[in-house]
Order: sequence, then C-alpha cells, then structure tokens
Amino acid sequence: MNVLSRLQETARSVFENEHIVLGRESTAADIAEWDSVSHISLVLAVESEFGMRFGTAEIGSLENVGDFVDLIERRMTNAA
Amino acid sequence: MMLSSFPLNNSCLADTGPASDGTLTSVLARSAQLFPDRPAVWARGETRTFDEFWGAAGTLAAALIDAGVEPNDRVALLCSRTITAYTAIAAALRAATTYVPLNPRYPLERNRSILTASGASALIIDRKCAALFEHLLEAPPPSLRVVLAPEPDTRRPVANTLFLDSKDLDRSATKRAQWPSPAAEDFAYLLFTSGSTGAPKGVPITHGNVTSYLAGISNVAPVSPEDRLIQLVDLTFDLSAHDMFMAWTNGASIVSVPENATPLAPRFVQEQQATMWLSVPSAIGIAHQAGLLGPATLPSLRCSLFCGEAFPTALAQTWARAAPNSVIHNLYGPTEATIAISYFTYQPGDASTVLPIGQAFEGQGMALFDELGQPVAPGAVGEVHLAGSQLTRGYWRQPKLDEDKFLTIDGTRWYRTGDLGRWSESDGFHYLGRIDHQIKIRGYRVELLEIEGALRTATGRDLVAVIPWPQAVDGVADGVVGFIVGEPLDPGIIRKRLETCLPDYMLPHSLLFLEALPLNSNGKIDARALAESPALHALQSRGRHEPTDPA
Repeated sequence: MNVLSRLQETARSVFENEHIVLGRESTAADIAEWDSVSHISLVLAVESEFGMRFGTAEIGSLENVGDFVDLIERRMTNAA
Repeated sequence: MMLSSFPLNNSCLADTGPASDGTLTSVLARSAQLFPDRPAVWARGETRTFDEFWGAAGTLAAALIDAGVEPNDRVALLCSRTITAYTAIAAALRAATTYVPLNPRYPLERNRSILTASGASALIIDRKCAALFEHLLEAPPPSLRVVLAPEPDTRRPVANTLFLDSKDLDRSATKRAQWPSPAAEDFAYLLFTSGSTGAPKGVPITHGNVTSYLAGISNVAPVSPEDRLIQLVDLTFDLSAHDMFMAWTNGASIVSVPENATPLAPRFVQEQQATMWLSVPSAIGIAHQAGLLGPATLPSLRCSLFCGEAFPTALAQTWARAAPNSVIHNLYGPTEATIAISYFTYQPGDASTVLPIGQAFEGQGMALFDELGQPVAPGAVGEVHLAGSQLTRGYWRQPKLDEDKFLTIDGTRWYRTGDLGRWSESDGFHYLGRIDHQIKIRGYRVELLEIEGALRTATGRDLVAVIPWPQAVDGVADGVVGFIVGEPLDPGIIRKRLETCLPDYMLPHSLLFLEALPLNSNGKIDARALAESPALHALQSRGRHEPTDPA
C-alpha cells in the first residue's frame, strides 16, 4: 500500500467515514469532517501510522494532501 | 453602588521614556532604538530583529505614503500570519494609518464587505494569499487606490499596484526626512465582529486605547525582553494585538504558529521554548483531548493568559498540570474595550466551576446596572458595563448602534456589554452569560441573528431560527443548528450558499425542516422548545455530522 493509500485509510478511520477519497490535490476544505479539531487527530494518527513525529513548521507548510505525502516520503527516505 | 476600580484616570504607559506620546508608533520606534539586535518576530522559519523589522516597515510605509496614502487612511491586510503581515501592520502604524485585517479563511464576500465598509485606500496582500486576491478585487471598492501585491505577474486591478518583491519598493525606500506623526486619539486598527443586523460591525481602536490596555495588562502580566510570546490567533481577533504590542513594547519577540498547525500549539511551545501564552480557554480542551497536555509538558511557560469565553476551572487545572511554572490569568473584555479590561488570577484549589472574571485593570471602570440603568446590589445579577480609557469612541459609521450601546451615567460614559454578571467581595465579577442572542464559538463572537439573516437569504424563506447546539454552557457553544420552516430543500445547496458569506465557525452543522417554529407565551420563537425538539434529538442520536434529513 503506498503512502497516499495509507494516508487515506488513516483519514477514513479518524473521520469515521469509509467513503472519503483523498487525492494529491485534496485539502481540508474538500472533506466535511476535516475541521480544526479533527486536524490535530489526523496529524497524530498519521504520526502513529508512520512512526514519525512532525514539527509544527512542517505541518504549517502543508498546502494539500500531496504535500503531506511528500513530507512522509521524504522522512521515510531519510530514515532508511 | 459602583463596583469598579474607580476613579478613572487616563492611563498611559509609565515607562516609555521620551516616546511616551501614547501612540504605538512611537513605542515601536523606541523599541527599535533600544533593542536593535533582539528578535522581534519569528514566523514560518524566518526571524527579523527589531532593526530589520522596523526598517522593513519603514520601506513599506514609505511606499504607501509615496503612493498617496494619507494619515488616518485605512490600510487593509489580506495576509496569513507571515513576516509580511507583521511588517505590514508596523508599516501601517508608521505611516500613521489604521490597519484593517481581512481573513484568508473568511468567505470572499465577507472579506469584500469588510474591505468596502472600512473605506480602505490601500490593500496589502502577502504571498500566501495571492490566489485569493484576484477574486477579491474583481470589483474593487471605489475607495481603494493602492494595492501592494506579492507577484510581479499579478494583474493590476487598480492603477496604483506595487509589488512587494520588486524594485518598486526599493525606489520608495529613500530616507524620509519627515514621517507623519499619529496622535493618541487616532485609530490604530479597525476590527469587524459579528453583527446582529446581518453584517459585520466595525470597532475602531485608537493608539491611546491600546497603550492604556498595555499599561493595565503590564501590571498583571509584565513582559521582559527575554520573553517569547506565542501568537496563535487570527489577526482579525484582537487577542493578536496583545501578542504583538506587548512583545514589541518590551523588546520581546512573538513566535507565530503557522495557521495549519494552530491546534498543535502546545508542541510549538516546546519547539520554540515560548514563555507566554494567550488563547481562548477552549484551546486547552482541544489539546488535552489530543493528548498534548501531559504533566509538565510545557515547562518553558511562565505566564498563561486566557480570554474570549467562559473559563471552566477544570480546564485551568489541566493547564496548571501541563505548565507547572506558569501563572494563569483569566482575562475578560469585548473588542469595544480593547482586548481585555479585567483579570482574575487562578489559584490551585479554586472551588468555582467557572473562573471569575475578577476586577478591572487599574484606572478602568466595570460595574453592574439593571435594565433601568440603576446599580445593582452586591450579589445581585446585572448587565456588565465598562468605562475608561480603553473604550472605543464608537462603532464604525453606525451612530444608531452607538446610541444603543453607549450611555452616560452620572457624567461617565459606559459601554453596555450585553454580558450578565454578579459581583462578590471575595473574587470580584463573575460572568453569567448573555442577555441577547450572542454566543461564543472557539472564542469568536457569533450573533445568531447574523446567521439567521444569512439563512433567510440562502433559502428564500422568512421563517428560520438558529440555536447553539449542543446547547451553550456559559455562552460557549461548539456550533449551531439551523431550523427552516417549509418543504425540505437540499441542505448541500444551502450550505454552499452559506459558505459564500459566513466563516466556517458560523456555519450550521445541521439544518432541519419544520412545519412551524414553536412560539413562547410572548409570541417569540421558543429556543428552548427548539432545543428539545424530537428532530434535533434524533439527529443527536445519529451523530451530528451525518447529512441532515428533513424532519
């Protein structure tokens, strides 16, 4: 399963909605359940899923799901 | 009987030395002189010292002036919490103008209506907001003469468009021999809050109002040049003025949390070793729920301020465990009285369920009156009235609203807050909720009547009602639900229409259709009956985020 798929599964679990489909261009505005409160849950769940911790500056620089995927992949590459 | 910290006086900063003319502009200039090499601002990985910061503000201010912007003009800002935003605010003050923050997270129409209502002659946009800018200026308001935009290839919606990243500004950066000098009674900023008439209302705040506030809060929560003040609220929220001006008055630094990471602010405190915190109390609950507030997780904090909504004692206890080296103050005050006007210091073991709002800052007035304008007895409930040098001169171009909200009693000018309070000898004033239809959602003032107005427009139906749901406790709610009389409409379409004019925190999370609205014995809409309606409870049992079906 690639990073985007794992991210989508995590989002479905956090937002309790099996119908969520994430693409690289998706943003919080596209997902009804994705508000400022659930955003924190998503970040923490993604950290748990991928075994990494993000800095707030990294999270703050994300514009869309594609940026999130790139950040995770970058971290995975650096850790390898 | 007046229950306040009287007599009134004209407070001003006591220790500003030769710059103490009561303006933020001179206070900032003085800090640039005294602390040139200390950091003034950190945002998105960039730092500016006071010297760099004030210099960049001068460049921007000179560009505004050269482009024809005059003292007391309004300068609107469409910026995220970036270095550009903070520089633009300092530039507006340096050019003796009034800054008017727009909000990138607001719908286009709301920003456009604020831009138009403010009569701004200039607009500054940062790079993060470049995409919003063209839509905002499809039909620029006639007052707008100057635009400072980020991208050189951006079209020029008004003739006088300069570019922040180009040589345009460098040409204006030549040393000015003369800078305009604002006066203490000139407006420093103009903020727009939710209005019960269906449109946001403007609250202009003078330099003198802010320097009075700074004097008052400095007695409660003083700042030193070593401090790092976390900045996590939108610039449209007046708590941001505390962060900026308390830091910059004292040679301290603000450390700005990126918008996307705001809910992770406790982690940001750890990364930045921030020493001072200011937020709404509900931020504690969100962080605690996410597991970010373990014991002693925030040891760097030495002072934590909370403001903007009722502060449950349980949240204060949670924060005290996470930030064991920090004093905790509960601040109270509406935008009309400049950020905050009273304080209560939390003590471990406090038995109350909600922290009191305490006593007014020295020199400011706070009292309780009944509906006839008579002082209430100690222990009795009355409407909180405020007076003193922090009060706005009045709403922006709304004299009728001024007549309703400001009154003179025994020669003192008072502002009617609409908040209910009680006073006790032991711990001062207590907040007891609202007398009207205003609630707080995540610290934002929300007029239910404004949402109802938008709902009427979006549905074409006259009979609508909006109530906080789940029910508000101490005036604080998680969100609202809307009721519409008549045949069901498509909730998705209504929501899309509402999204064009209301910020996200004001959008009803559910819409329900009824045959009629319940009325009380006075013929008014019975909000309590609506809150107890079977349709609403059915919705609750299904989970509030599910799509709404007609009742």
